[in-house]
Amino acid sequence: MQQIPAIDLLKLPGLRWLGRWRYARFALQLPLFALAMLMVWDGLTGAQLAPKNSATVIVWVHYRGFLMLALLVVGNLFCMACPFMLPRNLARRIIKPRFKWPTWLRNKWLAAGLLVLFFFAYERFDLWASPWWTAILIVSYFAAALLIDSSFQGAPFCKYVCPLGQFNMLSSTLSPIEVAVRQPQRCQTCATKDCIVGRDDQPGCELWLFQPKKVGNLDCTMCLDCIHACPHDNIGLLARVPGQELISLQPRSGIGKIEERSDFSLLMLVFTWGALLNAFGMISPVYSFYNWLTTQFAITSETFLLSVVFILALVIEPVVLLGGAAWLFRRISGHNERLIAIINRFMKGFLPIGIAMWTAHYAFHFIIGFWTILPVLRSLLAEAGINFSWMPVTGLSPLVPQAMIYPFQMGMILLGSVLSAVITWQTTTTITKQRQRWAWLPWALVIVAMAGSAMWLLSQPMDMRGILEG
Amino acid sequence: MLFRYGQLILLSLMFLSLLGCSRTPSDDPRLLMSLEQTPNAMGIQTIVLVINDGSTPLDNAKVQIEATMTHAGMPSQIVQMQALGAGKYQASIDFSMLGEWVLIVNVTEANGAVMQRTLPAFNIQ
Ligand code: SF4
Ligand code: SF4
Ligand SMILES: [Cu+2]
Repeated sequence: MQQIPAIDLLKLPGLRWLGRWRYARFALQLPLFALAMLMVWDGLTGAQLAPKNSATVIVWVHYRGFLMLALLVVGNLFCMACPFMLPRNLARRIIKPRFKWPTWLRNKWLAAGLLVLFFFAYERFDLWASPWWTAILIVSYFAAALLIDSSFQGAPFCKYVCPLGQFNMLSSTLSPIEVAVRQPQRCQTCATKDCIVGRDDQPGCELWLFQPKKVGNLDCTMCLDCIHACPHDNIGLLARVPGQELISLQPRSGIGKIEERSDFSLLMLVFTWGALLNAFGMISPVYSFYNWLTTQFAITSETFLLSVVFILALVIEPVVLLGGAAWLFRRISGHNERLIAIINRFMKGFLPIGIAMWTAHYAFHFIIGFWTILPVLRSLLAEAGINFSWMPVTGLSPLVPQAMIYPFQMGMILLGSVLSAVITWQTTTTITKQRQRWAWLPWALVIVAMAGSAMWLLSQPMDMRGILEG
Repeated sequence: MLFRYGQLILLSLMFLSLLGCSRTPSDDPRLLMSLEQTPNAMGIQTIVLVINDGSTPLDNAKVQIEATMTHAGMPSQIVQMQALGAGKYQASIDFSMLGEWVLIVNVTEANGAVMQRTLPAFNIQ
């Protein structure tokens, strides 16, 4: 894969300090930490109307858009500059965690559950409309990271708990940049392995990714620790083909084979089908559906209605689609693994379409709402006694002409579908030699079904209300 | 070193929470406001706001209305309302998206008194 001269971000002028200076991550975290504090304060004490509060505007409009942009253009930059890790890292200087993360939790089950819980809370408490809940969410992240990582060794919060981190890591499989070894030969003669064990005060990889065996971006927070620990300056931020790691079948350091892990499979399922579900929650037909459900069950409890939708979208639909495809695949190819094992092998193939859907959705809000930060900024500054009344507060147009958004979204979905098709095809050809084209067809149909629903969802009119009032 | 950080964070949090005391704009309960008709369909609509000061209609005030959604991310529209007399003020608003909308009224009375009120949210469907 290294035929082309590798591009290394850390060798670019202006970015070298990232690799050389030990406090580089700290420096990146500080501004985000300050911003987080501002949002928490504003969210708790400011106007409780979402468009008037920096917590809701920045988190749900700007942050989500920037997040996807950064992931697709560079890599997991949010985790690199993660503000939640700042108090945690400071605490680690005095508190040496005593416990080991329990073995039965060393997997993604918990994180997958928390991701579902987060999606559920997002709809149930209308997080997007609530500055107060948004602030509470931020505070919970800080508290959980601090609590878990001051008690347990390594970085269990990032690796096994943080739902946001899982979202970022899964998305970063399509990033063009990864933390990787510059010259593999150098590692073969290395006796100290500082990149994993650390040296002096500098920890090695707390997510237990051993550089010479690391494959791709999964589980990597781009924290730069390994880069600072390597005494031979042999680790960089190298360019690679986006998505390349989804085709790799090598065991991954600190992870193993994702193709054989049901917990990883579930996490990817929640991520991918969650992308469709999250978009479904904001369009007009969802309310007709709620009304229909209400008449069917004569229950108006919002929690109940939401649970029905969640079970349909995250359990029944994927089970039918993936189970059906796996069953057909087995019939056609004569492959004799259990259905679950087959689904596990194919699941990573659906990540691109999930990433495409998240991007298409968040890009919409980002483009429409980009300038809505101005009125919020203006009133915050006014409160601090700074007059910025020249800043426009009304007549704010989208970042790019609105007519361009839908074609862009369609392009994203198409691109994601093509990548998904390629990866599932590659999986098919590696695990069966029998009637490969026919065996691949069921998976292709699932991709078509998902792309179709994604396009339909994106073409629907947005309808932004909490279902309580609906 | 660490303790200084901790103290700094704590101090700034305390400072911030103090600042929080007077953060919402003032409302004047004396003024009674209601919409002649609550908008409920998409598109451009003319809304009429009736303002009373106790039992007398409030005229000669400057009334500005801001239409926005209860979710973040939709640019708001701010327009000056046109006085119709008898305490009535009128403006056209483009309800360009389905969902929950909210109107914020800013009133500047003839004597210079200023107040702001957020009217109850309603659905455009
Ligand atoms: S995994 Fe979570 S806590 Fe860890 S760096 Fe990423 S966002 Fe921050
Ligand atoms: S490999 Fe480990 S130490 Fe290196 S950047 Fe990624 S998470 Fe950090
Ligand atoms: Cu949305």
